[in-house]
Amino acid sequence: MMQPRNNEKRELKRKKGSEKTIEIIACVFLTILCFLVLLPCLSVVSQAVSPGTDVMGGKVFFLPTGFQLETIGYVLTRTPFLRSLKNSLIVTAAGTFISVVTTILTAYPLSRPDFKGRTIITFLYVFSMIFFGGTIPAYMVVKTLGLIDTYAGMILPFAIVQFNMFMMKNYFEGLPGEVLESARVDGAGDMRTVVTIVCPMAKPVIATVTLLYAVCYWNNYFHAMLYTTSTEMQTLQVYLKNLIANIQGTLADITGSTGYSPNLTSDGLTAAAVTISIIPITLLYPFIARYLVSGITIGSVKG
Amino acid sequence: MKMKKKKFTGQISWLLGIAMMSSLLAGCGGSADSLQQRDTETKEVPSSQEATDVGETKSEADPLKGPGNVTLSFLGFNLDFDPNADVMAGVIEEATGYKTQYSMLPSDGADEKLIADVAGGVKYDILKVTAGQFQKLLSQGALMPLNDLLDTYGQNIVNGLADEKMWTTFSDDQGQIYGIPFMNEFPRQVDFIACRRDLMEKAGITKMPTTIDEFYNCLVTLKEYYGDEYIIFSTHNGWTSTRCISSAFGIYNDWMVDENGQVQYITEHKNFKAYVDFMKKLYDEGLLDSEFAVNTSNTVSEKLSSGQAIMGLSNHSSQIAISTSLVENMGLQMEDVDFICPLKGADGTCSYMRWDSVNYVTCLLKNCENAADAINYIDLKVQNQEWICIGEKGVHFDLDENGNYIPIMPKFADDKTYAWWYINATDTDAYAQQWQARVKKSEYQKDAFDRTTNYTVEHNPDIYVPNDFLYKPAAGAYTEKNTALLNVFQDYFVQVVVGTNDLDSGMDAFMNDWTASGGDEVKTDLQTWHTEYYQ
Amino acid sequence: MQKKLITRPQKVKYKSSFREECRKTWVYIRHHPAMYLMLLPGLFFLFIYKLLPLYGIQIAFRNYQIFLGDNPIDAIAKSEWIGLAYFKRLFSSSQFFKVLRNTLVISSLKILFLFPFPIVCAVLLNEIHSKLYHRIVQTVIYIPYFFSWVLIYGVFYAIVGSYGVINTILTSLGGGRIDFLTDAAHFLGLIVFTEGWKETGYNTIIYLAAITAIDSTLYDAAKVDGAGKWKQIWHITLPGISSTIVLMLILRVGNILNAGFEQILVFYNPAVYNTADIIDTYVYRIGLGQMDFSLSSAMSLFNSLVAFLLIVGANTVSKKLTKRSIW
Repeated sequence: MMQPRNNEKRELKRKKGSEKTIEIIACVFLTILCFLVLLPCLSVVSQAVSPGTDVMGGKVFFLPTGFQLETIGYVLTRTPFLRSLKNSLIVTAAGTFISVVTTILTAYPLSRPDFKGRTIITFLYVFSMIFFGGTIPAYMVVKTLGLIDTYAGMILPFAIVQFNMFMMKNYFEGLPGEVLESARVDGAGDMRTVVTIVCPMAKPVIATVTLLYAVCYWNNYFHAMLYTTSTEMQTLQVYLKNLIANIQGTLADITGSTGYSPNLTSDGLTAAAVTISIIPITLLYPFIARYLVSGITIGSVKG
Repeated sequence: MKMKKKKFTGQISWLLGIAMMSSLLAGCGGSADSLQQRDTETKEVPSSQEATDVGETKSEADPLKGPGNVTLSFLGFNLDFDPNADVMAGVIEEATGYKTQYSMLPSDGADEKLIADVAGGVKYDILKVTAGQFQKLLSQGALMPLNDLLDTYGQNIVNGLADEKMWTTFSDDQGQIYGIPFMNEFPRQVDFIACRRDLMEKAGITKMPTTIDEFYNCLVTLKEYYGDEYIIFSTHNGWTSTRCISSAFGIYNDWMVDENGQVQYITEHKNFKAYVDFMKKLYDEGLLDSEFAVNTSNTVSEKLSSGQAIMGLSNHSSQIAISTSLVENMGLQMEDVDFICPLKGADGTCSYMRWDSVNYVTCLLKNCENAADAINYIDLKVQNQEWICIGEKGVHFDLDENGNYIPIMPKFADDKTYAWWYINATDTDAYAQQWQARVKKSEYQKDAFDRTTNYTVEHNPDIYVPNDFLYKPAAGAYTEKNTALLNVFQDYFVQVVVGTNDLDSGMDAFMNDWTASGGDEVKTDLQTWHTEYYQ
Repeated sequence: MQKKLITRPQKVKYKSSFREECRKTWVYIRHHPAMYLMLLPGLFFLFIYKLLPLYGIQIAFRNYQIFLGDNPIDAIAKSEWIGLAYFKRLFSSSQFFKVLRNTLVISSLKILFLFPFPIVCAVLLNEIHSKLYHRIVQTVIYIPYFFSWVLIYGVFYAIVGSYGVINTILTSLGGGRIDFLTDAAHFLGLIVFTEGWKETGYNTIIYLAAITAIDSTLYDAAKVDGAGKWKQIWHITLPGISSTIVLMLILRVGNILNAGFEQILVFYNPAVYNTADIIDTYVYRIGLGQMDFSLSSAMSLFNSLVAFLLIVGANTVSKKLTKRSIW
């Protein structure tokens, strides 16, 4: 918030100059930020791939002291891994899809100023966002619907997340009304307007909300744990959390068995588990990022 | 460009249509959801027996359905392995004849999950839970009394528990038994302080301290010699972290009974002030890890393993990782790792409580439909204990000349690592012997166990004090509120030691919190029981 | 007289306008049935998963015994109604005002330092012309969001612990150690910093999306007028995302009693309870070992009520001042 205040001073300078300055400031600022963010992340990856003796001896800080894949291999090769990865991918893909569609469909009517019933329905969403009935009643809804131990049980409670809906509604409200009106004049129905006009114009927010939902499904531990009982339905987060929580005991347990290796250390395995859980969802980001570069000209939608 | 746009909108409208249909469908009839791929086989098994609802009125024990006619569902605590896929699942089925479907509580949020499942009507036949979870289920009236079932089908379970009086711990005040204990394998095992002998010798210390004064002098010598180079002594912030030290002050538990039969809390013990002052002195003089308030048992182990600390609290299972790291990674000799057993006071006082605790409790829900088979199944497991827990002689273990069990590695570790997860009850005397095969899996663990627990049992058998409230039934204020009390106490204790609170001026606030958490009720509860039981 | 004359027609006008309103609404519904159909899936899920469970709120007023009935829902009705007893227990505790104060302090610090930060990041990121750099920065700063608090604690413990990287460097330079974890002031700084570390990237995305909605012709026009970059940011970019900023601020302020339960639970220790113990961690500790659903319900209801009042208030104020509101 400080930079704009410098505004007045810089006004006198040449336009080109100010453009350069700001890009340099932005570059420096963001590069520093990236380093601050990356260093701790780097230390996690380093712990995962450095030799166990160095990890145990506290010699690994930010850079790997060697390279081995045994630690990561241990996490990847055990039976629950592929199964739980599959479950997580299904829940995330199907859930994100259902959620995004439901959210678009809800956000559009609520974003139209002339929509009758707008205030009351919006308020209902606000209210339900603030007040929460508790874990047990929510569990009973899922149980009564027979959705314990099903993918649907893990997905449907998040079919619409109020915050994401508001974000989308907010964006829709910013779209130029004339464009939507002209569609209406052309005789397009509301549904067709959403599909052919609104969605293409709102690609950035749809992409963002898709990401937010995907992250929400991917990261969810508590509900994935609460709404499943069989090991068959475990998601990746549940598997990894169990792995991390039991690491000390597991390592003591497997001493002497054929599976034991000096590279299996508690810090190393924790780091490996985290690295593995983050990589798939991080890969999603570059696809979203292309929509977040500004400069989308609303005029071009018309033409 | 235009083509692309058209394609995009085309896709969207197609997707929207499908999604609307599918989401509506999914909402309307949960089971109609196309995403629901889980085969219902395992879920159907218990419900197929629903036809005859037994209810909770049982004057006589139910008839057995028998092995092979029923699949038992077993809920256990969290461990990082797949109980349905482990070799042990087959071993158990072979030993008992029962097919078993295993489930596990989660690592985080286990209590919520357990309560939600049980209250919500998920059917489990056998629950193996922690003592705290057992208590919650019992106090909410969710459990089935087991007396008749144990009489009819569980004689080996009953006889296996050497200390008969222990059954009262798992009964209500009317004498109805609700839980089957899986006892701590070796109650006389002791915690110890692991030390770097090499560093101590370098500083001129040749004799391991055995009394509290020797211990203090030893720390001072180390501090003078090493300064800030090493953490002199590290321990974690739970009160059990100092049981090896409080032993010298005669303090052995949070609740104790004095010579007049009066129940007293740890803060009321006559040596409490001396004990706290000692700890505070260690902290103030930089002898105790400055991260005392932050430490967990894991961080203490890590500080020892990485060579940052000279001394630290440990036990035989943590010692595996510590010794492995010190010897194999840091090039120390095995003799360089030494141990200090519970310390004695200047006058020779040393009180260390026998840890007759339960590891886990097995219980049955009051609407359990396979109760008789569940007890029969547990009984069969006790009968086949040796085979289940440590395997076959010559394959998994051998016996030495004294009849001690020696594991055969790596076969023993490969097959029997998770055996203990499957066990509900034990023949305790036999298990204390068999369990030592597990201790000997690692030579470091065996070494630590021999030099601490076995040494103490042999040379200082007098230090063991029984838990005064061991046989108290699982009811009343003590079982409900003591965890909260212990938290209040630990916070106060840690704050006083690190100096953010004062022992005397903070006492009133502490007593307020303590009383608000039910301290007086617990005290009355314990006193009443103790007076009656030992009159 | 005049007054009367004026008010009467107004009343009539109001009445007729109400009727008119109804008629208009009906016409609207008839012309736009699809709009209402679209709302159905969302409302359906909202009703089943969010509104139905609200029945459970009364747990806060009852001595809830979960096994009392045939199932946990039945048990709610069968549990004894004890009114405000749990609220009294919560508020009458000697600790309550201390933990309330801590909650407000920590939350305010977080809003003060962390709320503007993602906006700055998003605006600056928008000024970067290299698309590659743009994407790299975006991807990098959003990674920490996937770290759980337990893990973040582990990572930062290695850095700021008494024997961590920073203190090792400090002591090797001859300085004294800094107790980030046990010294109250440093601890608060650590809490704010780590939250910023985890959440900044994630929040930046939200503002980035909002920036894309700004009509780029506005910038072109500004350039023609000779406005510099700073001026463009101040007069186009920030106003363009102001509705998102307002939305975020209203929600954040509404959640002021939510100071970060999971984070503090893993970071704090008895030495810093006086400044770091917040309402949620306090209730968590006193309820530990007892399945006290009612106490935690009472606490969460109290938090919700405060949030509700703040959000409704902030929304009204914002509607008046900035013409921006959530509903």
